[in-house]
Amino acid sequence: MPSVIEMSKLRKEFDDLVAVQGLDVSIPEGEIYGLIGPNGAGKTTTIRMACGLLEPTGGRVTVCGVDVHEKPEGAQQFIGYLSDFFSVYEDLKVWEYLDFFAHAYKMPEPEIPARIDEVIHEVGLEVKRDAMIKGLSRGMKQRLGIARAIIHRPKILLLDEPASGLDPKARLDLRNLLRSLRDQGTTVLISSHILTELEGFCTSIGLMEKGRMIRSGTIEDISAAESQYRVVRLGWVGQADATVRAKLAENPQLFGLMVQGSQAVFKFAGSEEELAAVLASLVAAGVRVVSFGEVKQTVEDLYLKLSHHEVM
Amino acid sequence: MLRFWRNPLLILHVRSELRPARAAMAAAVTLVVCILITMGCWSADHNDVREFFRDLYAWLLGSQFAVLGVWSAMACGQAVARERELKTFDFLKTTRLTPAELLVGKLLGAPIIAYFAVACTLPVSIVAGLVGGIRPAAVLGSVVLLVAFNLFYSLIGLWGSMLVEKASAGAVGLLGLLANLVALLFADGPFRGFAALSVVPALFSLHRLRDFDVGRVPPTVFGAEVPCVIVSLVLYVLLSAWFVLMIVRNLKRDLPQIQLLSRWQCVGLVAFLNLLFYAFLDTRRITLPSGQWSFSHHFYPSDVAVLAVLWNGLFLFLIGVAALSPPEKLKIWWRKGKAGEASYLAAHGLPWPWLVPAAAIAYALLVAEACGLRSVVPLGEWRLGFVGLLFLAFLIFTARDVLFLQWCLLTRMKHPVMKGILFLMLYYAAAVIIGVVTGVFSTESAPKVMTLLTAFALLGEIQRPSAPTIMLVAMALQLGVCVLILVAIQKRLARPVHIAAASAG
Repeated sequence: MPSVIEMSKLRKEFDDLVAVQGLDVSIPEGEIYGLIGPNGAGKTTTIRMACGLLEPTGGRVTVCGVDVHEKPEGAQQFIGYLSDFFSVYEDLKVWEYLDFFAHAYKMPEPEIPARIDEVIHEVGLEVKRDAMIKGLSRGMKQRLGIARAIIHRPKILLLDEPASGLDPKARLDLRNLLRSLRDQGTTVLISSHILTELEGFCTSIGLMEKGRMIRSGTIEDISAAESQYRVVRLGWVGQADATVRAKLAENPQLFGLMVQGSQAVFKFAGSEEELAAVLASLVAAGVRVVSFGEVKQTVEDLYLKLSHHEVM
Repeated sequence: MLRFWRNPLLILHVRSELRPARAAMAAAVTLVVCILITMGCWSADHNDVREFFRDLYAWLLGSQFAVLGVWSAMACGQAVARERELKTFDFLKTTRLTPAELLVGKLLGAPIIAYFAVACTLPVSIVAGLVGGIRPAAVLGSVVLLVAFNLFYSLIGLWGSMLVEKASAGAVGLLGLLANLVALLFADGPFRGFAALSVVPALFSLHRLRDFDVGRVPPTVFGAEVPCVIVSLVLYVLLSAWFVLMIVRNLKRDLPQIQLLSRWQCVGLVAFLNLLFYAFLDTRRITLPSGQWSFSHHFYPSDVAVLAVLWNGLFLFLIGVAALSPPEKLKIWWRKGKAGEASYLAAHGLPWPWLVPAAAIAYALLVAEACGLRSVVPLGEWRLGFVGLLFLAFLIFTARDVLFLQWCLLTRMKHPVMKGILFLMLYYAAAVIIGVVTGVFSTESAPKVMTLLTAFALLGEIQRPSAPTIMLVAMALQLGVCVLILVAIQKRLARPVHIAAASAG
């Protein structure tokens, strides 16, 4: 897959402070890339450099092969951008606002009316098409912001903490909207420090801390690379605690066993074949197993593991 | 850009500010104001109907200039800063609109309601003028002047708005209108062309109001008398071009990244301003010391030379400020310089080396002027040797001040340039006070102390046969100060950078 956006050796200094250093990121087409990290990690600075709002101290960003800082107007046709807290022109109607940005992105004139209706439909603002923006709720304005960001069919959508300040319902709507954009093949770079926001949604992530990218890749790849073991959860019925403990203790690749009631969690350093053998031995020993499976690591687990305890 | 009426930003302003109800309200208010002005004029004594219409025309025209000027300067003075405050400007910057398109959209769009209101009154004023016996050319010329005047001061407002964080500070754009009054001070001097910056002389001369001094004598351009309206229009266009250049260069940049002009543009600006100086110099006012002399109307050649030095002292400082390097860029330049990849004259290096060619061009133009007039004014009367030293002294003092401002930019001060200028003002005030206090004890020492601290004290020495030693000492002293500031700047640039400390959250 060709990369839609490439950042190489990206660096940004503010006064005596290095906000971003040596960032190398390449996002292929169709990816939903989550940029995660604590406040002050450099996520917003990275996104602002990526969309041409901040000039990097060093390095470069190209979008679809166009250098964002050398040919800003050329690159902007490929970029859709939405920041965390933003305002809209309150004295306009919804369609007028989108019409302005369609023209500002220099879309072909004949395409504009149909495209406005299309994005209004996509973000679910059909009933508000002719309403004044000042009458919209925060969530609706957020939808309008996304409609603005996608009006010109950008190749990549850069979203900086897009759910900030939204209530749970609006957050859910936003997630659904982004999912539908993903399904349409839009590449998205989204930053957030609320990790559950990105769960089950991003195809790959980048973990930033202190201006550096500490890990980047698909969640599975990062998870596999960072874990020398898998976490397995086991459930059974009946009085089999002793048998379970005895059987599992026999296996040298198994450690960290915790048994609670008729459930156990353990870490296993072997292959999938060997894990299957563990299950077979339990069944052969008469344990009536009802559940047996690997516990997938959440983005939050990965982040906590990588950023504070095991990497930094 | 040429089809400005299709500018998306202009259309946005028209849509948001000229909705039918709002436009109707503006038109109604305008109508009421017109009626009130008409009634006011009617109540005054008039010999005939034509006089009444002339009065009405004058009042309407004055109101149009005042309303459009103030409204536009204010609206444009807040246009960019307000969008920054609302966080909508980032979205504008990430569209494909070029800085020139943004400029046109803001310039014409921000004061759109004022344009509309004035457009409503235009037919009334034009009819009143024509019925009142005003020449059609004068009526038409007034409209052209109104548009040019308004665009020029709107540009100043927009330029100011680009440089401030808060929209409230954008009201400073109104100060640009004060230039109208200040320019009138030139109306009766040897540089009458500068008075054309004010719209008043042009309007007076356009309507042939001979009862007033202002605008009665047309300004000279390279010795030839040119109608004031033409000078005003050309001046507005030329100066607007410089403002457009600065805005287009910087409109899409963040505040800390703004550098008003490139190095060569700074040099070009000084050359342009000097050309204006000599173009507007009415050489008929230059008198030889042996001739009849009157301070208010005539100048010695050496006075013109002193004025040229003062003029260039001011403009060297202004271009120094315009060419200050953003701290981040300066650091990159410094690192590259250490690695041997950037020269001292690079685009984002220290600004002071570029003051040298600017001062040299300014001096060369003075010499050219003196040579051009040598048939009427002997070269010796200009005291070009001493004036050259004065240029050098002003160059050194200005370089010191500019370096100080560059150092301020590298500190963590808030509004570093503004504060740096305030510190410089404090310094000059202190220098004057020290000079005055010294004068209490020794009248001979006071000028020497002043000379050591400011270049202005040197101007009074022009009639001396040779440069005083204290002048050379002052220059050496200030060069030493420049070196000290350079060292301080270098220390700032060499400070190690820290990695951002991320906080969990």
